[in-house]
Amino acid sequence: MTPRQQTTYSRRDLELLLPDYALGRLSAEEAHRVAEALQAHPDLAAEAEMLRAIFQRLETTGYMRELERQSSTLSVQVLNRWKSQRQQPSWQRLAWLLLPTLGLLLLLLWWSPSWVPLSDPPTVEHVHSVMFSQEAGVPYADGLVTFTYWSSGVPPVVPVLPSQPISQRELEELLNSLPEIEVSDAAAPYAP
Amino acid sequence: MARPSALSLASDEELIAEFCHGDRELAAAQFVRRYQRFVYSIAYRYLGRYEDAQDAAQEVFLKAFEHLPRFERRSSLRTWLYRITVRVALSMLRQRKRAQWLRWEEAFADGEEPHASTPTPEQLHEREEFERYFHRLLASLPEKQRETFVLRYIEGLSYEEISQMLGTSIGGLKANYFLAVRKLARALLNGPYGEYFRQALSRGNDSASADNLQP
Repeated sequence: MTPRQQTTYSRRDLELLLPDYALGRLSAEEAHRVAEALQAHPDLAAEAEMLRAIFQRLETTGYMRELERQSSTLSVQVLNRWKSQRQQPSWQRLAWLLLPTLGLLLLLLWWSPSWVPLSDPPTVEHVHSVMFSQEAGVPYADGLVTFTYWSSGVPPVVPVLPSQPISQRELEELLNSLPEIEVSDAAAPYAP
Repeated sequence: MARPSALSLASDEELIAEFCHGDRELAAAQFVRRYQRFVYSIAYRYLGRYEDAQDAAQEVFLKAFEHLPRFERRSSLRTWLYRITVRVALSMLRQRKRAQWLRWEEAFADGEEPHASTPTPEQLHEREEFERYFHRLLASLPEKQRETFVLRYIEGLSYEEISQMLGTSIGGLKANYFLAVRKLARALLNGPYGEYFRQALSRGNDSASADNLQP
C-alpha cells in the first residue's frame, strides 16, 4: 500500500512527510490526511508549524539572490563560446582530422620494408674474382670457375666444360679473359 | 512551416528535436535559459566559488550541446545534466587538488566571496551576508542531506528525479530531507539571525520583511 492510499500513518511515516507537508509540497488530499494523522502527534504538529514559519521567513531573505544573479548571465556566455567554437573555419576542423591520419600514414610507410628504396637486381654484374680449379688427373680439361659478385658476396659456381683439353697457353688466355667477362641475367639462378 | 518561437519549445523532447533537426541556436538558447540556474546551483554546491561555478556551468552546457544529438532519453534531461555537472565539478575539484567535498566549507569562509567589489546599500549587504551564512549552514550538513535538500527544496525536484540522480531510495531521500530541514530550522532559530526567525514563530510571517535581517 503506498502512502497515497494510506488512511493512517505511523509516526515514522509522518516524520518523512513532515517537510513536504509543512512546506506545502503535498497534494491537497494527502495534506488533509497528514493533518488528521498529526492530531495524534501534537509534538510533530508543532514541529510542522515551526518548519512552515521558519522556511516561509527564509523565503523573504532572498537567500538565493546572489546565486541567481550570478547565473543569470550564463546563457549569454555559453552561447558566445558555443558560437565561436562553431565558427571555426572548416579547414581548421578538417586539419584536426587530417593531421593525425597523415602522421599515422607516414609512420606506417616508414616502418614498412617496402619503404626502403631498393635498387633493381643488376642485369649485368662485373666479376670480382675468378678462381680455376683443376680436377685431379684431368689436366687442363674439366674444371670449375668460381665467380664472386660484388653484390651477393656468395660465389656461384659455374662449371666450365671445354669440349677439348686445353693447353697451358689456352688456360692462361682463358684466365686472362675472365675478368673481362660480364655475367648476364642468365647467371641469376645462381644468385642467392 | 511556421518557425517555432522560444516559448513554443515547451517540453524537453521538443527542445531536443529542435536542437537536432531545426534551429539549433534557438534551441540552445532556450536550453541554457531553462537549466542555467539548476546547473549553476549544483556546480556552486560542489565548488563553493561563484567564478568556478560559472566556468563549470559553461563547460557543462558546451558538453551537453556536443552530446545532445546522442542523448538516449534513459533519464530526464535534468538528470543527465546533473550527472554532467557533477563530473565536471569533480574534475575541477581534482584539478584544484580539492577532492574532498568537505573542503567546500572552506570556500564559504568569511571574506572569500567576491562581494566587496560590488558596492551595495546596507540592507542588500545584510542580505548578502545572510546568504553566505545560509550557504555555510548548508555546507555543514552531511553530504547526502545537503544534496537532497538542495535538489528538493531549492531546485524543487520530485523524489523520483532525485532518486535517479543520486541513486538513493525514495525512503532514504525522505529521511535525509527530513533531517536536513529539521537541522536547518533549528540552526536558523538558534544562530546569529535567530531573533529574525523567532519573530516568525511569535508574530507569523504576514508582515515579514528582510529589512530587519540582522545578526
